[in-house]
Amino acid sequence: MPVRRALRVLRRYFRVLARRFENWSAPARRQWRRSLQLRIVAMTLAASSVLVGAFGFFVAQNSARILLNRAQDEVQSSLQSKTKWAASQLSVYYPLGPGVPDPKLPEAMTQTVTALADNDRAESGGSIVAMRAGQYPELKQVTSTKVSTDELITGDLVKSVAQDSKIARQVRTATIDGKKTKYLVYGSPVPTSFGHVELYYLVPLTTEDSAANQIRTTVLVTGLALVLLLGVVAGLVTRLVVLPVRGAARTAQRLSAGLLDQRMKVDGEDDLALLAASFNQMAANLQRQIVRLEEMSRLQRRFTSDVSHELRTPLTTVRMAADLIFSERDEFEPAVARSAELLQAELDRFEGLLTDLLEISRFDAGFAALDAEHTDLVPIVERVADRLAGLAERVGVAIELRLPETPVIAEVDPRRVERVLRNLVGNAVEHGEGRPVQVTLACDEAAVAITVRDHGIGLKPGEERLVFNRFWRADPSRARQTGGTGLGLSISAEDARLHGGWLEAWGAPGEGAQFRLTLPVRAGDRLLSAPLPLIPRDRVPTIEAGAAAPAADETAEVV
Amino acid sequence: MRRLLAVAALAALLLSGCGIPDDTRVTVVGAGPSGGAGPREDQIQSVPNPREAASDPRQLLTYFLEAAAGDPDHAAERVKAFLAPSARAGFEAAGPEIRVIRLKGDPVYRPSNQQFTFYAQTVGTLKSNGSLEPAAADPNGSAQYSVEVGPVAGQSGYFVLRPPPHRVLLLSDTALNDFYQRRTIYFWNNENTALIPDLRYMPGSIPSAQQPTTILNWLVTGPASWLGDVAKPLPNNTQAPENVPAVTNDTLSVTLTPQAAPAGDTKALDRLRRQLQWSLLRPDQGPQTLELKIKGQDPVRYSGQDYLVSNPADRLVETPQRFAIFNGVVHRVKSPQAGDPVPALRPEDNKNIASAALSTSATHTFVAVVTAGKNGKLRVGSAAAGAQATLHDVGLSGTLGRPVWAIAADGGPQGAVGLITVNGKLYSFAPDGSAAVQVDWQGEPGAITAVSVAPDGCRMAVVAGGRLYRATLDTSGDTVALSTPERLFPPLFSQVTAVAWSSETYLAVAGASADGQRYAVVDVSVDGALSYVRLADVGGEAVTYLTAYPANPTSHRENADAESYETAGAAWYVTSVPAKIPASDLVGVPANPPPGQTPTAPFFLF
Repeated sequence: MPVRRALRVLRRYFRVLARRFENWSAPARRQWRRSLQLRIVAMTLAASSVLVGAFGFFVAQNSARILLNRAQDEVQSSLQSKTKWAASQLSVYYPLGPGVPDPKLPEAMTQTVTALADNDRAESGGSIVAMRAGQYPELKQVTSTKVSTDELITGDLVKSVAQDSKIARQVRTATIDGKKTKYLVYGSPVPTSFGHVELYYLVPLTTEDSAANQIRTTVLVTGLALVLLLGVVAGLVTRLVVLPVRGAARTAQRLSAGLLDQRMKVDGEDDLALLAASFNQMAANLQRQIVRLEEMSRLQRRFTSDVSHELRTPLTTVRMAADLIFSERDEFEPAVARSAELLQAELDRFEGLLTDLLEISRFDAGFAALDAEHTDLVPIVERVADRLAGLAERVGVAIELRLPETPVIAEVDPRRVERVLRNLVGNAVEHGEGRPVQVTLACDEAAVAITVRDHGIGLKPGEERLVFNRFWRADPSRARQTGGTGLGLSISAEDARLHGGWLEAWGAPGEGAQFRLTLPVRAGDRLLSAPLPLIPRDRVPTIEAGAAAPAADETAEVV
Repeated sequence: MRRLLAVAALAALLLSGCGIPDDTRVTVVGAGPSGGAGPREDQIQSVPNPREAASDPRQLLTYFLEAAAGDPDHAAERVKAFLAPSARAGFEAAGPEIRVIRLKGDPVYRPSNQQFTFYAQTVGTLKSNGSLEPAAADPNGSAQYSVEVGPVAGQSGYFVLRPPPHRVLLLSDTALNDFYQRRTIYFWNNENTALIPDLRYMPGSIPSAQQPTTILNWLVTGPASWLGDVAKPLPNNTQAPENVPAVTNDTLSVTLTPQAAPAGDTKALDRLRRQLQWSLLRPDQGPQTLELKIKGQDPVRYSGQDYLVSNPADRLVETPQRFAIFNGVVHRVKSPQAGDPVPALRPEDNKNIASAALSTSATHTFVAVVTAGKNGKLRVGSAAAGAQATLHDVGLSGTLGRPVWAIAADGGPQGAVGLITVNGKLYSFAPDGSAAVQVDWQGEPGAITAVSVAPDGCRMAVVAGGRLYRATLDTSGDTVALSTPERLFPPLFSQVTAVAWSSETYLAVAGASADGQRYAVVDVSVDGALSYVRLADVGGEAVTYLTAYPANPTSHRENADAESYETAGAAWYVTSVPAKIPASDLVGVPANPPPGQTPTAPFFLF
């Protein structure tokens, strides 16, 4: 159907146009959404325009009506006297017979019209007097000027006056001497002894028209000025209100950015001053609260650090004693020997826990410092794999390394990177369920990434973030085989952050998990992307198709 | 911002929509004015016969000589309508003026060449302003006219195939009588003391409703030329810009331009309205109120008859006091005042009188008597009303004619001027008896035998050398001056012997008829054109003296009731037949008068 096609084309064009318009007007709309001042000014302008427009229309229309009425009254009374006079002048002519007018009548009509026009000349320039005799078609119309009145005296008017014997009026516009002029045309029958002739009186409305135009212009200009003034006033008033609000917003932004000593300026005693004062009071309260909380947190961290330090000395003593007992365990009864072994093992754990706590408290206290140097990451990965080879062998997990052949040089703290990798690979071996663990290293110009992939039980949705919490366990009842402290991933995350890098986790139940460490090649650079994907490429394709979208949600990012 | 623009544009659009519209529909305001509904008829007095009405060539000639009568603007067209198409192209009238002719005998028709030949006397020229000016040329020999009349092929009726060669519009005197009405309009004299009548001819074709307008236009164009020295026209540039509307409410409304009477000049306005009232109104019929509108001034309405006094002719009473001289003594002729004495004349002076004249003003009576005898003397005097005058001799010698009082002005004993002929010359005298002064007479018309002054005191009729003249008398200066006399050509007479004013527009004229043997008394219009025979034959004796008491203009009679003449030493009444005044008609005459003595020198108290 061509119509439908045309409609479709039209609709397409309309859509294109609408989109262009939207694009074009986007800045304006943004401005509209953002600026309270603009909205208020615009609304004031709109409302006042409607109001002033209506008022101006009323005033202009009314004044034009008054002008016209006045002209009509004047012309009508003038016409009455003219009619009366013309009737008196023509009263002396009688028909010579039926339908035969007095032969002097045309001359008398001319004289009458001339006299009427002469009397009139002083009053209103340019008025025209015309006389016709509808009953005597052989009598020509007599006009006081040479101007053609065909445009001005319409057939309707002639009918009303000549046939119906009514006084009638009409406003007509005609081009006379190349100038468009409005005329008020009045017609009246003039009673005579031979029926009646018709007198037409045409008065130019030049004065009235120009007065009406002047009034209109004045109203328009005044109205526009008023509208603009109202807009300016609205803008000024809004500015008075919006400026402090903007100040408050800026202050609040600074406050939220941590500049707790920012305050608003309090001027005067008005509502805005009250707002500023209240805002300042709120900020002061918040600052006090935050300072108090910070103090408390600091005390807590201090406490943890102190406790760890205080525990260290007795632990050293206990450790020495336990080492002595453990070295002599062959001489004890098997049950006591077993206890000595247990004691030794738990002391190892305790020592590790204490070390981790100290490390964490160092991070919390902000004492952790990055000791960055240009390092080849490949040996570090290989070393970590070597160290954990024993454990892996014990649990039957193969560690597969996928390393580039060239050295991967980055400005990192090798000790911390090694700790992170040890932690990640250790966790992967531990949760590997006997399946291989892949460690991949890759780099580009800006970043270097290392992923650690296992095929264990994986992570439930939402656990990607929780894994980095302190003392978090996926299954609290699960026995620990490696005796992890529960702080490893937290410390790793802090290490990554210290580098300005990312440590992220991905996991799905039954599919295992993958952790990715991304670090900038140059210390202090901002990371934009990683050379390796977080979600492994070897995911089961069937699952991937359906779980692609949710999988994205399962990623987490720690910066 | 765009919304804002849109709103502003909308407001501008709204505002531009208002104002005075370019075109509207026809709005009926109300019913038209009423009045004048339906055609009304206005009788047109008399219209000359059209060419088509003529049934034979002679009638066509008659009608042709009537054709110019009517509206002067279209006279030439009417005359042209009588001409055959071939003659029309060459016919061009010399102007709107019409030559009034008096036919001498019947036209002679020669069928062989379809030609009429006739002789006619030129009476005068009828001007477009309605006044008839007597012919200037001496028409002793009447002019000969020839007119060819006949049918034209393809057209009905007769045509004038060749008009008279003079290329003027001709009008017969009978047509002047039949198709015109005589109207009198008035102008003030130079002293603003009296209105002077001016006879005009109103075409009968002008409807009565338009006649006031015509009269007003005559007034505006000024008095007839012969009155130019004594009658004042309306102020310069006075115009009648409007028609005089039909009478409504018993009122005639007249509009004049501001020059007619300066604002604030109440005297001028009063004079103007009196002039208009006399010219336009009649005290016994028609509208009685005059509304005078002078542009730029408030209209004023005048009603009542107080204007009548402005014309001295209005003092003329219905029944005049007649006097006659019997045996050298002035006697009253029987009348209601028969018991009164002869006014102002002392009984001791009332003797040996040959002729006398009496005139009254509002306050005084003026007397002039001529004593009998070979050396007759003129004695004059004045007295307050009811008193008797002392007569003074005026040193005049010669053959004294009959004295007349030309002017009897109100206000004092000296306000009168008298006229008398001495040895065929005209002299003026005053009531105080001071020396008489000869009045200059331009041209040499011959001996003056009769003088009569109209009631207005300005117009006079003179008989000199057997011819009739009219002139105006200017008494405003130190001396009395006479304008150049115009000769009148009354019908019938071969010689004129006596004249008197019969009314404002007519003169009573006595003279010898065409054969020179018989005498007749005829009233002749003041321009000599029209005549009304009073006495066709008064016998073979010459009428030496004629007196008349003019008709009051408000009576609309054009001829005096009371006329008397003297012939062969006897006084006669002018009635339907000549009647001698018997001595028994005189008061104070013995019942049996001595034979041979008859009343003579009849006169009236003016």
